[in-house]
Amino acid sequence: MSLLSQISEQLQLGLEEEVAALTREAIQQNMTPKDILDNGLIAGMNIVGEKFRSHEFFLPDVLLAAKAMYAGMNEIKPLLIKDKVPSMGKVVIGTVRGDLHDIGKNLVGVMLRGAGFDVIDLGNDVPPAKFIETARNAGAKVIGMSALLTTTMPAMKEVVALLKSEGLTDQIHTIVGGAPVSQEYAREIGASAYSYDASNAVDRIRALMN
Amino acid sequence: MREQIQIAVQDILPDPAPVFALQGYPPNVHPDARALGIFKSAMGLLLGLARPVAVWMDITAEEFQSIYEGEGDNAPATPLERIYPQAEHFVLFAATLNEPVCDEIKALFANDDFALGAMLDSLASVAADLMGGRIEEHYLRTASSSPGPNSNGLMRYSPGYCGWHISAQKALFRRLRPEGIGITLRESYLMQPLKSISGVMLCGRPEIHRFRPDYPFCSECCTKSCVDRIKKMKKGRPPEVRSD
Ligand code: SF4
Repeated sequence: MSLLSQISEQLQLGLEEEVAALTREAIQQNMTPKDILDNGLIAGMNIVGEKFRSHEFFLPDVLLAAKAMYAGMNEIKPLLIKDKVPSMGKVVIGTVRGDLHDIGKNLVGVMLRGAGFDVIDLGNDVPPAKFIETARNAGAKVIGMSALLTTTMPAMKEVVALLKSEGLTDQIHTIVGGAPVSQEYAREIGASAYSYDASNAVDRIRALMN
Repeated sequence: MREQIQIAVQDILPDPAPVFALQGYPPNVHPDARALGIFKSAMGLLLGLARPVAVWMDITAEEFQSIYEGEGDNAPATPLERIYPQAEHFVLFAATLNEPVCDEIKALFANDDFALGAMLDSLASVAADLMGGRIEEHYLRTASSSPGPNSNGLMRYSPGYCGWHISAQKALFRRLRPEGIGITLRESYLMQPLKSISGVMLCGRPEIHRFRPDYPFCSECCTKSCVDRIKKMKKGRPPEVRSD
């Protein structure tokens, strides 16, 4: 089995020390950091996402894999910076105003980082203006919003409306998700995309970046 | 009557099932040994860090009416607006696990310990709900206005759910003053520390709490937790966990 496949496999098992050691070995073998990232770490995380979607993996499995992913990332980060490997793009995420449910949003953040995105996580109970201000200042192309309560969903609409009123919808896309949120709701409020789970959010955001 | 009570952490330790349900496990899936190990570690953290404390107070029907109306943002029709006029006793409550648990969850995420952080988060959410049951028991044991320990006509309702707008927290806080036990209200009406609960306990005949969940907002409700709560009340057992 190739070294990169081993990295992917150990990552799927959530074995952080093994992933870090294998990543160091790959660096010593002069593999490029981009190759290690794309074909080892991200490839592994993509499989984790698929297994999560098919209920073969559950939240703890995904989060342990993510920790292993970060352990590998820490090894190659200095090289990525040195080689000026661009990130997949910047994403601002948060749970909307009035909502404190964090798990889904955290999972999206972890999966996005695992897929090579720069993520600015604003936490929970985020006021609409803060999403936009942060995205504008950071040059983020996507705002991801999560809500777990029907009563807090309207805050998503406020963010989309605010973006529109500031003429920013061409530069900053929005994606919404969370248990009570649906494709129909996303369409109704004018969000750019809807995602039904964390790994789907990564796919959708990838599409929005292009 | 107004009373502050300390709750023993041992009395709010959750079973694995509702915690794993919050983690997204379907009921027929048994967590593997690794997931159960994380659950056990999170339980250890909860035991060491949680400082559960609660406050409750009796209020009048008139006082509750103005708290219910809050900032005037409730849904046009709600189950609670039909229930509360038939209630005999109105008890405001608030409880918190306190800040160290919330700080630990943040610290675990900051240190990339996502699985343990998320598990502690779920565990703390269930434990926070369980505090409600302990307040009910305490109230039924001690309050002079209580309908007696055998009553099963007591149910908790909280702003932010089932059409009762979360902005009613403002009026609830004004009356109950849970700042004394360390709970404050954010501008968005969410409580700080996050792992806190608040609301009203309504006592009366069990029938008053029964309703059909066919309000417009029910179509978007994922938990339908009222169905279980009403079912449990029919059986004469107080509802324990509300996972919405
Ligand atoms: S279905 Fe959901 S929103 Fe409707 S009353 Fe029951 S718990 Fe509340």
